[in-house]
Amino acid sequence: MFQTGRAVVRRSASAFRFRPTVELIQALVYRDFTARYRRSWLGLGWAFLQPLFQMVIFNIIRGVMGFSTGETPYMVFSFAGLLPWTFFSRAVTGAAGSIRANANVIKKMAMPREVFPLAAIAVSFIDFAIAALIMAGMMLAYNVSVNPLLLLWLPLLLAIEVVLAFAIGMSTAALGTYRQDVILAISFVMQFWLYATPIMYPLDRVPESWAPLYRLNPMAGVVEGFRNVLVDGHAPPTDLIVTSAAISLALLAVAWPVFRWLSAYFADVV
Amino acid sequence: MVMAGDVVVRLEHVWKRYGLRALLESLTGRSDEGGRWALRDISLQVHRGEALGVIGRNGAGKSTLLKILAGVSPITRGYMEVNGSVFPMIELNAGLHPELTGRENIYLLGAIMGLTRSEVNALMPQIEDFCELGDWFDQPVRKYSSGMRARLGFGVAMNVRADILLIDEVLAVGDFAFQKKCISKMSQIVSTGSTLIFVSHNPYMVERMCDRVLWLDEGRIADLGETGKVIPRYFEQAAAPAKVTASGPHPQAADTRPGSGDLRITDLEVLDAHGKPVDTVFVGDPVTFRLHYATREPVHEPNFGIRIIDPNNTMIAVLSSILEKKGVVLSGSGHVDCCVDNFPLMPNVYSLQVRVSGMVMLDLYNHPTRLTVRGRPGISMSTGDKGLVYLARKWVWPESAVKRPQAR
Repeated sequence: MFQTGRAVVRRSASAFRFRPTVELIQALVYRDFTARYRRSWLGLGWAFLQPLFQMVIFNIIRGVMGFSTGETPYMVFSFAGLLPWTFFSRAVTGAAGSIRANANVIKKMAMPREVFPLAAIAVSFIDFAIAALIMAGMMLAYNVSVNPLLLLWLPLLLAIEVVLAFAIGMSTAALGTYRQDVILAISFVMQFWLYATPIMYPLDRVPESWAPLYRLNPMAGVVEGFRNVLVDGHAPPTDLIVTSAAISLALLAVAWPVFRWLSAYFADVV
Repeated sequence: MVMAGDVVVRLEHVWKRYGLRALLESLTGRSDEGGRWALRDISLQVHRGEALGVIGRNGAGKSTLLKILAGVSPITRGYMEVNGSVFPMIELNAGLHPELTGRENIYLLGAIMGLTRSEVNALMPQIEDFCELGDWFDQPVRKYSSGMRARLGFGVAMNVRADILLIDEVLAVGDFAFQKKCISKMSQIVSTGSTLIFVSHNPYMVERMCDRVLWLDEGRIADLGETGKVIPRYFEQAAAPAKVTASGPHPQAADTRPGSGDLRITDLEVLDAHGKPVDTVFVGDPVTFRLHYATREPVHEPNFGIRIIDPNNTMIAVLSSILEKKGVVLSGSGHVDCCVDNFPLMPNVYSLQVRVSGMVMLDLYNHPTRLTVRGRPGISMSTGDKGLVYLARKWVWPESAVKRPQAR
């Protein structure tokens, strides 16, 4: 007998239980982080190397373009921007690939599918913590003093980043299970986004006519905020931070329900 | 709390299809019956403490059924109710990471299977013991053989408590002793009141483990009932000659076959008691295999081996001429007969292969038609006898135990 209408499923045991879900994320982070470095010579060193290399490249490019960052040494200036950006960019690409990367688990066990992008973001956060040590070292070396009260901004800035990375990563991952192009495209998007964010150049170098559009980039506020707090010694511009937070939350409000809906079908398509 | 005899799984008119279409239909809530369905109109109840076997050909919907029960994949239409925790043991080594050690992977698998770290800690001695990996347990999994990897998955799965266990073909891995261990562990789990849903290509395994059998065919329920009733019907249908012959192995041209070719099998006939060529024989009947051959030059003392192979690719018997070939020289062309008085194989569909060797291997011949063996009245395999062979027997009861009608 063929019935129309929606399917109905009743389960006495829910797939979501808080503690095991949190511990699953921990286990996935442990797997991805240790496994990544276990059979390499440099091990953890790789977590330091990538942002350092990028900083060197930026230095070279700046030498060519020749813009000024005032009295702030360019090394410190660029690294203060690279620090939040690298976290964001790794979190997004990691989360975007996380559903496909865990396909064999997803096909077999029911669990909230959000654990995979969340674990990917957590792994990038470890890399961020390591890179933050470099930042601290550089600030000591260049004698950059920081107002400890201002550091209280950092958790908020990081929270915005996590929300944004989660929203973009999970929607890319969800759509990417159907068409892999979405996942392949995300690395191009991130490259473009890198240059559309004030990382290698100061925010005030952006042409006046572009400013309204430029300021809609939610990462602009985050990166500028990090630099203000760590290097410039003043609070981030409120309007930029509010824009960042609002856009990130709005994206999450769209991305999460879409992910929820599509995630039921992941096992059918990955 | 789930009570004994309670319904733990209830499916009512469940339909399931894959792909974009299912996704779009879930949005609109509208769909029609057309197109491909992985499951069609499945209605089923499974009770607590029951072991239900699921059989059917590849693509019949067995794995899909497990996926919807596991909550991994959504149903498209109908009603599904699952009371109790479900634990799928579907291809257990999913999620293993090659760079982590066995022990680290146990924590990972445990987490994937929904256990907390302290639960895994408590189970660890038991799991380590069950895996029987010894020093390998703390070695990276990339060094493991596939059988060793499978043990890890089992080690965790077998020690997880759940109301409903879903098992899919997992017993195909691991060595025989380990399989046996898993089977006895599973029986033990069922005896503690868990429900077992067991998918297998191997009807014998299902027969051993399950009280009831669900037979799926092209997504539909072909039959559902007691194991003793459904399995023989499944064999009967599998034995339907028209369908199966068509999918039999293709005859291979003699010049492309292995062997030196000094002697080639040109045909194989199966003859019944009256010497008539047949492709169906009955259990216990006299059967003659007639091998037609052609030689290039005289062959001394050829050793023929007729191999009888069941649908699971198990070689059930090899009828060899090794003890009876002394002094034989075959030349030209002709035929040899191999006579079996009481054909003792259980009803099924068998493939036949003939290997011929002399000093060197001469020929390997795959018979294009399969041999169907059917049961017959008086031989009670549909209700009693099981297994691979039928042994003619006579039961002798104690004199006093038999009450016979008094002869007057």
